[in-house]
Amino acid sequence: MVSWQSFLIDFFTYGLLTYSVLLLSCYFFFATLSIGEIRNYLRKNSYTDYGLLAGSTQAPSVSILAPAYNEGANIIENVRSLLSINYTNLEVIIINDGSKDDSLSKLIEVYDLYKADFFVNSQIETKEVNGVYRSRKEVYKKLIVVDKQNGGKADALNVGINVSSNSYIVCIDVDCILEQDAILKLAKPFLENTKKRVIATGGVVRIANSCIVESGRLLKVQLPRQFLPRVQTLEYIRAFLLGRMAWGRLNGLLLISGAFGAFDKEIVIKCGGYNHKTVGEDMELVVRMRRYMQEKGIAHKVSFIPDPLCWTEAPSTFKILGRQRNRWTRGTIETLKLHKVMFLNPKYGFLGMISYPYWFFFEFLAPLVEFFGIIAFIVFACLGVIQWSFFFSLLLFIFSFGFLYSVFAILMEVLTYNQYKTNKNLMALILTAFLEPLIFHPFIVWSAVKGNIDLLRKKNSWGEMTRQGFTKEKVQQ
Amino acid sequence: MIYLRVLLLFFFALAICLIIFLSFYLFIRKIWRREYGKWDRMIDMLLRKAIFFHEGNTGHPALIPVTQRFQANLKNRRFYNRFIKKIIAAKRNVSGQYGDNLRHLYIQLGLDKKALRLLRSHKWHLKAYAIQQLGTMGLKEHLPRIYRYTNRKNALVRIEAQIAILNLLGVEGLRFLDVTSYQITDWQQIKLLKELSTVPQAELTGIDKWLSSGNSSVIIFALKLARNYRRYELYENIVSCLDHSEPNVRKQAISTLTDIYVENTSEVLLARFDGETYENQIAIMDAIAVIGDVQNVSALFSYLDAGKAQMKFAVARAIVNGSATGLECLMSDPRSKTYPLTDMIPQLKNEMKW
Repeated sequence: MVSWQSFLIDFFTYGLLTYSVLLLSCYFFFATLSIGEIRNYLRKNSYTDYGLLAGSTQAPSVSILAPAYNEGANIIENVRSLLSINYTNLEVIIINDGSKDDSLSKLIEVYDLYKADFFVNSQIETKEVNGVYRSRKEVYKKLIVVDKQNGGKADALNVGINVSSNSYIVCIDVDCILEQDAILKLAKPFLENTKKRVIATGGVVRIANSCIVESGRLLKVQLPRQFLPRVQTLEYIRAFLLGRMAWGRLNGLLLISGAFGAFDKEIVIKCGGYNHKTVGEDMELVVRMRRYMQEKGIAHKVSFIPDPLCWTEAPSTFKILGRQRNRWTRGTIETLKLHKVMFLNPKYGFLGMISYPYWFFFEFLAPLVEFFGIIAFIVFACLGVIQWSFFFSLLLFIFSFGFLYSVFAILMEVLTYNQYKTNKNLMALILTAFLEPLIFHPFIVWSAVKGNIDLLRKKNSWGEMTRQGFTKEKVQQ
Repeated sequence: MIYLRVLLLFFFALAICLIIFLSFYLFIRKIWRREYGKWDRMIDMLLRKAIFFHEGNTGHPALIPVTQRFQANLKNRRFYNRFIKKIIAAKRNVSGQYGDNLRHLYIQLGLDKKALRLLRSHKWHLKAYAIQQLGTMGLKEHLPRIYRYTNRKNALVRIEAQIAILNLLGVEGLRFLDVTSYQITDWQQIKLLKELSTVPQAELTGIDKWLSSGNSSVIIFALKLARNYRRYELYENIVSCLDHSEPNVRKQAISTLTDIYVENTSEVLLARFDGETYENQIAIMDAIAVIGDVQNVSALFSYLDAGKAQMKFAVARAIVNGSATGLECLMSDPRSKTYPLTDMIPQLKNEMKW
């Protein structure tokens, strides 16, 4: 009986240790891969004159799709920011998703809009469109505002796809701030098609809390003053600069952030557009597009650009952050479930054999393994079947690696884009990296566990996301 | 457990080393930033001096005065890179005697020799760097060396060599299109077209040859050249590209014909409609909507029932713009009273007003 118990405990202990080592090895591998990829990108970029594309009639035509729901407070500035983007072949489509506030009337008034006769080619089924508005003013000729019945973000984006007349779509959150050259940089990979068709491109999303924003433009980058947004800054640097760059190099990306991504419209339509039945519509679309291409046997690629191109406001309270992470978890599980046929299926090549299993074992299962692992270890230690010293050694081992990985990400950021420049900011980031595993990470794990529970309870709400708004520049006295 | 503790200590030690490196790097960068300000002033002063340099009437090529300190600084890699960046930018912005002066300065400082050393490097980015310098500086004597790289495997080296050849030879430099075996991406084509916009087009020959190239991307590029430079004499060659096996080539040919067309171009396009891919069928209708001049509008009506709404809309637009009576004809058709034409026609009417 005793030996059976000890076997079980050993199996559990070493199983968990093996899982941790595997996960850490993956991170180590990503870090190594991303170094080469970023270096190559920066070298190539030094020969790239994006101004060429800005003025070229040969540049691919792009439609920016920005769904808006009750964004009345900032919609005018946000739209102005989008209209000021440096790109010739561009249309900006704002989809008013049945807002209950004065978003539409504000837009009509400020941009001198009229209800245009517009044929909406419903290639993707959506909720009803109430009207399509265009501006009487030549200066706003790029702008199209669509008013529709409320149907959620995915449905709004599908309406945008139906209305758009261009070959590529860039889907963004309306409250995001784009860099002036964001579309140029995002469009370039589509022009470099040779053997593989580029079906989507993602860019780095950065945290804009505490940054100075004026008239929808980012004037000064600052490290968030509050702990939660600051720790998310670190998290985003790690995820985008190391994780996604590495997956991009391997051509195994399954996710392009819903806040900012460009897609080949033809393939999006062939795949049926965004799925409005999942809360993880951004990941689901990328997986579906890749699955479609794989099934059709068409060589393809999902590109990723390390430049910081899009700035967004991160949740600054645990309540909102919890909702966001809960939703992300549900979105991941729903997507994995919808495409379970790909799991370890050689027919889907690298995606089926590596990308999907990674997401399953290390993105979906990791918080569950961590949560139940820690509980079990505490119970075992309390019962005296394992030593507390071993428990703490294991915990410190994970902690030290997490800290090392974060410091490495900060180093990469400094060596590449160095957005936070001063020593003070970097020391604040390092301190954040030290505190993250103690405060932030347990909360994220708990939110993910709650996401799993909510999914089992068939809860599929988006969760309200209140935002504080960006910091505006103080008027000089 | 001992392994766990060793690893733990190793991770912490490594993290501390990285933090020390980070602090040191930031400190050094701060010093560099101060240096850059001084260097920029020094470089700008020399470039200004060089641009406006007069040789005088001695008959001998005179040397542009360069301080010893400047020459010593050139041995510093960061200074060298900064100088090269600035001299390249300056050379691109000036021409004639001013440009020649910058070239003399570049040679006088022995930077051409350094560029040739970089060209022999095994690293692709150094090769590209060298080619960019030699091309921008207009050092024709190195043309054969650069030309070899126009068909290299590395895309960046290849495109920099192609751009350099255009810089050195003008439109004649496009002869690399005769032999290139790699695809010329859309991005490369945009770059090449931009470079060509700055050189005289008078003697641009060879488009007809490239229109029948075995490399489909060369044909597409040639079609763009024909369109950009309005080469009407190539009309028949362009029309023959409508029968190419690659849909992308045919699509570009359709697009080119919207700018280079004759009386019966719409009919020529329409004749190929049935055999085309869906995407190219849409392109044909879009082209007809631009060209107009359809002899027999009624022929278009037969396509109104074909395909999806997108096609219907493209056909309707072609009918409306295809002839002076297009809109009336469409309105008198019974189908105009049914969806989706009921929604399409008001938009088309609006478009006509614009």
